[in-house]
Amino acid sequence: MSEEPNARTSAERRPSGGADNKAFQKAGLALLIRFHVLEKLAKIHDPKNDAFQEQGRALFESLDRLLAEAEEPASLRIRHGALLLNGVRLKSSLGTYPIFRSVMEELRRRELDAVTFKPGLTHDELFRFMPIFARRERKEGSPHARLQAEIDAANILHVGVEKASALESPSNLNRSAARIFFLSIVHLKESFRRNQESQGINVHSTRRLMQSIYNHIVDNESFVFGLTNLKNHDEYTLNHSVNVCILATALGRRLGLNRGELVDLGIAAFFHDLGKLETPLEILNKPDKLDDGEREIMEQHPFKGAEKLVLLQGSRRLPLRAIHVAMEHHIKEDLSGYPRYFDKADVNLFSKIVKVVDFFDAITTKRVYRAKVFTRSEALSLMLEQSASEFNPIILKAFVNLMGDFPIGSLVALDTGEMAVVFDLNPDPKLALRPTVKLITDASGNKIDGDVVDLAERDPATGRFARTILGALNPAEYGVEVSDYFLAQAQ
Amino acid sequence: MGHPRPDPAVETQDPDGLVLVDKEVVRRVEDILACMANAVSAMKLFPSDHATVRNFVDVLAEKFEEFFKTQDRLEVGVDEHTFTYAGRAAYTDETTIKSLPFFFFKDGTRVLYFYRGLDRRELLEFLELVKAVAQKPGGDNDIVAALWESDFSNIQYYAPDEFIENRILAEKRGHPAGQGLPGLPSGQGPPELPSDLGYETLEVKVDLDKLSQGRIELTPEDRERLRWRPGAEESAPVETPVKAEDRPGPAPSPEGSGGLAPSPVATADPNLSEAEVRQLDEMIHANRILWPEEEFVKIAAEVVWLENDLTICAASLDALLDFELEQLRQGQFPAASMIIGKMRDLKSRVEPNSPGKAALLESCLERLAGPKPLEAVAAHLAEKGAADWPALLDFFSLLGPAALPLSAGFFEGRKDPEVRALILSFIERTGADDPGLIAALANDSRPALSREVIRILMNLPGQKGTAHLAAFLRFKDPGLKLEVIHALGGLRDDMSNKILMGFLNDPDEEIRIQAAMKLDPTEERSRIAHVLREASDPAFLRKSLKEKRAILSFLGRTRSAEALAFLTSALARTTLFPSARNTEMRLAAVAGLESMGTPEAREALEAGAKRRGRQVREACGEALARTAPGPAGKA
Repeated sequence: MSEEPNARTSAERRPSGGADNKAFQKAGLALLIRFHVLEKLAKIHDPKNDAFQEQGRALFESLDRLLAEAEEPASLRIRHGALLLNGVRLKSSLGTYPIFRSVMEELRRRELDAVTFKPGLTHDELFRFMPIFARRERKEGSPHARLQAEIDAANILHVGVEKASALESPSNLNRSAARIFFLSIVHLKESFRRNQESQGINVHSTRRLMQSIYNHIVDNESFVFGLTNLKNHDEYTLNHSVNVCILATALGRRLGLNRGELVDLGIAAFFHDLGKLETPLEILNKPDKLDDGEREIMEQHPFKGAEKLVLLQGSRRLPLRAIHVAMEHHIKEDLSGYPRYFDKADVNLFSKIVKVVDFFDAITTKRVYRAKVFTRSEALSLMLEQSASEFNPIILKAFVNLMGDFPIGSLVALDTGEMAVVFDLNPDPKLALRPTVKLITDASGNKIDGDVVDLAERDPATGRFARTILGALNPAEYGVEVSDYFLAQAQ
Repeated sequence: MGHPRPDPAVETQDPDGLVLVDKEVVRRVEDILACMANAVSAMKLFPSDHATVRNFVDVLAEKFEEFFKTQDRLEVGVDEHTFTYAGRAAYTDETTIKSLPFFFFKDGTRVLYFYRGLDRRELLEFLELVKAVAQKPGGDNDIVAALWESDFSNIQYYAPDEFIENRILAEKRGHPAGQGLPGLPSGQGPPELPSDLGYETLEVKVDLDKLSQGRIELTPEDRERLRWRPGAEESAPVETPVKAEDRPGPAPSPEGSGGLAPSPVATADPNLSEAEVRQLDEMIHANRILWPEEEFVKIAAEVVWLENDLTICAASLDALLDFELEQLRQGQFPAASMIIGKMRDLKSRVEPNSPGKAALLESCLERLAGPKPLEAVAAHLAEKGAADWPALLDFFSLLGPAALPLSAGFFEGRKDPEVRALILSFIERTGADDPGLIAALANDSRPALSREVIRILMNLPGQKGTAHLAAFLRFKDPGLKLEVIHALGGLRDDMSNKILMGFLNDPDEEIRIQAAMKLDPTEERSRIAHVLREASDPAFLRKSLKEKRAILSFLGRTRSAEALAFLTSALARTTLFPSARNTEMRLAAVAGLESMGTPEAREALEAGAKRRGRQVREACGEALARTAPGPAGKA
């Protein structure tokens, strides 16, 4: 216990909840945004620049206030996929997600767990620190060590940077994610088999699997998205269902669903096509257009799936919304589509989410009956054109935002003559057309195991962008298996 | 700074490479872990606000606070029966069933992290979670799943994916370990998998050489589409992108992308407007407040609607019945009511075109209102002792008469007047068309309800409940019978008299007396003849004077000739030797003649006033005085 009679413990100084917590969240978010903006400005402007000065003053004020109130260092910390300010998790929303992501990536890039501003911080120290922090890390040596050395050299006494605890190597992370992906297919296949044999689905294992998928999305979203480019592994329905599960969980997270809801959503998406067990394979795989009778059978799979889940629900503790999703994922926003309800006049939120991602994954997958396979960008364009009656416009918009202009896994042609696969989105919405890509051919068209490059990088000599995307290409037309480039990262 | 001298308090690093760690820190960690285990044990025995629990939690919080003064975090390894710190055993409990380390270990936890910033509130939440999960049955007691969902800010865990991986793969082969059973081999993690389920099933190998061999040439179409257009340069710096509305026509997209016509994706505003954000929040909120039971019923009804195979339909309806029973056991009566309502609606819709399905639904409705649901309700009330009574009675209303007996039992057991009023209202409504159902609810073991039944039956319009009061003739409770007698006495109709006549044979004398007193004089000859026969029977003499008086008073009130003759004869009968019974009979006859109050009766009394027996003479005189015409007597 403190020796000062009136001193509060650090825990006591923390917001206790309710209005107190709301105020803290608001102030914390404001501080985070200022930090982010100042870091961006520091990348391109001199500290004497007016915009930099103004934002710097604003950030200093926020920090100063926090230091005075908290009576302890102000620590911005990354922990298990979350950003904490003085031990309190800051909540992101759809609008602030890019900022959270950007700050976290900046911290990760520098191998940091936390940046700490200590009582006694001066205006001058902050203005000297931010350009050092914003400087692109050198490739040689540890980014954290380099940063620490520069801070020490600049005699900045009231800002500390904490090295991240032992980080898992990217290839290990990728390998874990890939294993979970394939494990999901195995589990779904087993669940389908058990269902066909009138055995129950193991919901507990499914729930843990969903949690693991979520964890991987948080830790390694871009790679996990890359895996969803894998199509037709084992049976189409299995691979497709896993892709839909991943995309739905990611979208749900972006929309602001809580953890319990995300697991339920994941499970619902996982089993959304359970009804296809009742659809004859010759109809599922028919290369030509279905006749009326075949279409009628095909259109039964939603309610057949819901029926199976109704029969399971009583003793299997499945989330009830899984039944909704199975039933409704082909019902359109204007309630047309199939099946047609006799009474119910609404569609569940989870169904709307799954509908979007289901459609997206389906039309970007080569099927025997489909002449054209859309690229991811084309799919999003098509969906936007159809949004009014088909999809919920807000959810679709959020999905488009999530996927980006050139979704992860897009095959693109660069102005250098090279071809590349999009590996990661640029967290800055203003640089949406400048993702991170893996080069897969050289300028002459020879296939290479190329570098992963950030298209937002400029040539230091000329200040111009080194590479620019000319447009997306259809991998199917070039015989390119995009997923191979991601799986290669997991070997 | 020189190298620090070896500190005797600090352990030296041994050849096994154990981490150099301060003994005092280790001691504190051991202390914390022991305290935590004790806190959990206490919470399993006592409620969270119990003094013992509060004390343990306070002490534990203080220990953490002290620890975090010098350390950023506490990283605890989790072995099968041991918590470790810096590679050393820090707490061990090998009693599997209560071991805290094992509790975490069994679900795959391998490390627990406690971070500076952990406060008492969060610590208590964590401990309560541990307690709650430990008390759950079977597969629900997965602490990792619960920790994940709780998402503590300052308590984290590491549970490697290999755990769930092995579990799922083992389930695939029906391996018993896949069922999550305890007793894993100590220190070895999950058991060995069958060899054909190796890691190969979870990986797809990519031929890396294939990725870097060969060429890819742009197609002529793509070449054309992507050709560079002159003048399309970088148009804007990083921080000020060109907005869609600012681009003239099919202009190049920002950042110098080479003159492509912007796609709908590129030109769409990626950000939600404030209104859209609000709408989204509303959608999420609406989803959160959905009543899951209602949603299940609605969608199950839709499934039944769509299914044409009656066998499968029947299975779905069975599932609904199971769901109803589950809801009733949990006291979720509105959900059960909704199921019945929805099935009725569905039945009415399918009836015209699907008689087979309609028949199934009819059968389902019978079961939904059958004995099993009622048993489930009774079980819930027996366990919980309380219920959402308005909702329960709404449910009973749907069940109709089948629910009456159960509601009757509840009435007797509840003292709350509001609850009783609700139950009575249900009983009245339900039995309005068939009073026999209401009457059947009364019995000696339900005196309170029985009184209400009497009231209800009496108040039914058209006196259609009266006949059912005959049921009370079989009752043992004299109080109830007297209430019925009292109620019937006011009606003065044929049915009431019939029932009152029945009470004349009651084993309880008081009942018989009261019934006789309430009997309405009537000219129906059979009733008078019946009473005359009873009064003429030698056994009548053995009745008490009070009873004799009551019965003969009734005869008198009939003012019939037969009654007059009988009473006159009885008054005149004398015996050679004094007979108490005969005297009582004569006194009762006096009462009867007095009740009669006719001139003939007065004549008989006057004659009696002169006969043998002083008591009888006096009684006659008094009766004459009371019945004398004029102010002094009854007219």
